[in-house]
Amino acid sequence: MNYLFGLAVDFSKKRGSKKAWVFIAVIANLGILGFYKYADFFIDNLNALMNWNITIAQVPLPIGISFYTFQAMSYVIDVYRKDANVQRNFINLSLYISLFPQLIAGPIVRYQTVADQINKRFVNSTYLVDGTKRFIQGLSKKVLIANPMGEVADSVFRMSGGDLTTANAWIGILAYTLQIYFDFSGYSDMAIGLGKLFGFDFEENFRYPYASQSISEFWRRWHISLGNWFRDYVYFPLGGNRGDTWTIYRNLLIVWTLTGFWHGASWTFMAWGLYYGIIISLEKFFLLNILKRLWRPLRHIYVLLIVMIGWVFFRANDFAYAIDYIQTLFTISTYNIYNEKTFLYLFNNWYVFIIAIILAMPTYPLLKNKIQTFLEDQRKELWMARDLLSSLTYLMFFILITMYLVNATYNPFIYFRF
Amino acid sequence: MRHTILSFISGFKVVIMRKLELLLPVGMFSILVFFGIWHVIDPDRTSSEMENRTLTTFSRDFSVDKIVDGSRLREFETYYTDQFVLRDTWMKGYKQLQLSSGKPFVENYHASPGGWIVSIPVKKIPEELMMPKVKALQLFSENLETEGIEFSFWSLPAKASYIRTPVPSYMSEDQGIANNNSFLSLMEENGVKPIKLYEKMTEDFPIDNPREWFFQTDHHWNMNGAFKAYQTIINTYNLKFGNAGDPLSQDEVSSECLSNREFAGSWNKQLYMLVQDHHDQICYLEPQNPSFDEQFTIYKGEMRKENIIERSEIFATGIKEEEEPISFAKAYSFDYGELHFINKAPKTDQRVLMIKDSYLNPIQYHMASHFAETTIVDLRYFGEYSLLNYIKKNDFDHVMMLYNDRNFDDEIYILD
Repeated sequence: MNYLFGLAVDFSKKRGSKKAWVFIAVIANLGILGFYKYADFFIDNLNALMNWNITIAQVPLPIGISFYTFQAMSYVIDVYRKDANVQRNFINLSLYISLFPQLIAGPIVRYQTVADQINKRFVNSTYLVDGTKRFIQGLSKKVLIANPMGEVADSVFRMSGGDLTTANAWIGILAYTLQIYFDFSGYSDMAIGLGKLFGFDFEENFRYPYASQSISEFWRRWHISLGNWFRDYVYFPLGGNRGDTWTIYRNLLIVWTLTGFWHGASWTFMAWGLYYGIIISLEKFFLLNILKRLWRPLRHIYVLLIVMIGWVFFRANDFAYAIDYIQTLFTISTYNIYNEKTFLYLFNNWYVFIIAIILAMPTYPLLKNKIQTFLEDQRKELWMARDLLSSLTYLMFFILITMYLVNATYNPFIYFRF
Repeated sequence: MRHTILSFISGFKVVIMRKLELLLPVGMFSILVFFGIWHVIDPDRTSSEMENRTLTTFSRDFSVDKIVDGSRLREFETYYTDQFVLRDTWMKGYKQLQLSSGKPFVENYHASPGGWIVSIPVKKIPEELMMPKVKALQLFSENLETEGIEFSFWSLPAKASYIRTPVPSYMSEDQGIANNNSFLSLMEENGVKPIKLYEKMTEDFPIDNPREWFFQTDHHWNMNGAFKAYQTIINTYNLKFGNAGDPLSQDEVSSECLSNREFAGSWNKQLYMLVQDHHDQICYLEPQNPSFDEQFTIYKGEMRKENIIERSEIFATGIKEEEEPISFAKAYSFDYGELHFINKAPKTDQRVLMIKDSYLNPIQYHMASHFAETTIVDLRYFGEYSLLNYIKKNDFDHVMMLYNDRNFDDEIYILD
């Protein structure tokens, strides 16, 4: 479908026709996305609003549809804007849209990024090594950090009543904050690494977002490909930073509400997006000036607090639960500050929390640079030792990952037959 | 010349560095290929001793329906993970890592120095969740009374209820005993008279520490505890229901232990046998004259000639297998849906039905040695028969229900 739209846009001579084809392409793509991902949401809300009783058969959600739909749309729009040449080879375009490393979890690769690489790419030992390292890094983030943190988060978010103490609530949201970062950035690393193995250079999708000093900066470091997509294809066409102040804020709120909605078909996701839209607008309005004058650690605390509260809405099933959870965080509606589960979570997972917090900051690149600087004037033997140690370390992580993955399938039946 | 040699060495180092660089991708893909080949060559395992379950084996069902609805892929994924190369070794490594990292509970068990494994505390069960089971017992008891059949409910002491130390000090108190007390109180209020065996055992055999009666690494009692329980049950039965003869005394049984066989306790198996500093061993306390081997005709299933079996087919089956280590089930008995013991030298002419869980397994024969006919049923494997109709059809004199005090499984309270 998008192959034909691309050709149609390219073949059209008049600007009006080109625009029409882009419009149809966007509607068609969003229509498919809307049907699979948002149909239930729209119908449920329509039924609630109009007191109707429309029902539709359960629609299975194709995995990754949000990612590759946006990817495909970006191709047609870029052809229209002449940011990329039309791809006349159907197989090559299919390769771009369905490239498996980033198909289901991003990054959202723009066609112009990989257009040349589709036909002309090569794989040398550096690509093989870097790709493998990046893949193992991503898998390590996912299996060794995100999954354990996910277990803690899931356990806390399942709690109700007296079990959800203030301490448990903080542990839960901290675990979720770390889980979602390492999960998502882990997948991106794996995609980038696998892409490299095939000679593709994808752009970075995360740049240590929890080290940000403002929410505006956070969204320049978190899920970069999505932020850029909305900036280029929604914010700028709406007018971007041009126009009066209220137009700018309107544009920001629209973009962020849509960003939230892209993440999931529910009001909580839209609220989460709108929440960031409001904060970014406030930062643009006056907050950034205040932040600049603050002591740096306070800026970091500000960002982490805002982000973690945002994650409560993102994770919660409904508003009532999210509000209740936030109240518990600030001991507004809790009976106890801590209980035995608090100790269990901490004693069972303290080392994962510590490692995750350290790695969520740009400690690894700092360390890597320091070692690189040290080795610059050293003998080649030290370089060899470094490379050997590095390879062995990554292989050790690979073995560790295998151990964790096999254990994830542990399924005992203790009392069977005795 | 020197310059040439140095240049050669420098160039050689560069080549080696480039080769070393490739160690990682080559190593990773080699591991993947190696695992793949090993997986294909290695025959499928049918069961996992450590996980106590059957494992998925390869299915050749490639029907279109299953492929289209995705179930074939899910089945293959389950198969692949169940048959993963060196699965038990990976699991064991993971558990070792967890234990070494100082986690207080691994798989909900706390392994303390000295070999004791303690389970995580359980919470209080609301009475409203217990009531359906109490009502089922009440109805069952009333039905039996209508038929003129005596009924007794025996609450056996579970290790997890009475061995609660050491656990980390911040853990809340285990509610196992409280749950049991609630359950037994509700039964009394509803006309069923339960017998709390632990109280009777400590009256008959005062001890300083209940640890003497339980395995360190398993959820059951050991032979010492089971034998004391047997003696207490028979003594109590005699007081309440009639003379079933005196229980075997310690002098009437000989003791034999499998000192050269490692014991695979159920909780230790969860930890992949990593707790090594325990002193558990399998022991037997059995009479010699007559021995239990000679005393019974045993039916496995309905009482038909073709169902007659030797005791060795269901008792201590792990001994002849000579495999290390030996589990509770293989040392004593597995749970069977229906067993009949026809006693050649009974102490009473009573015909008794015992509805039980695995706690009775070490002392099945001791119990059966008193009655002319003993039927032992485990409702978890009893099949689709109506228990009540079964009892009426067999016309038992007495029905005993013997469960460990933490057993609240729904299926064992389906009593109609």
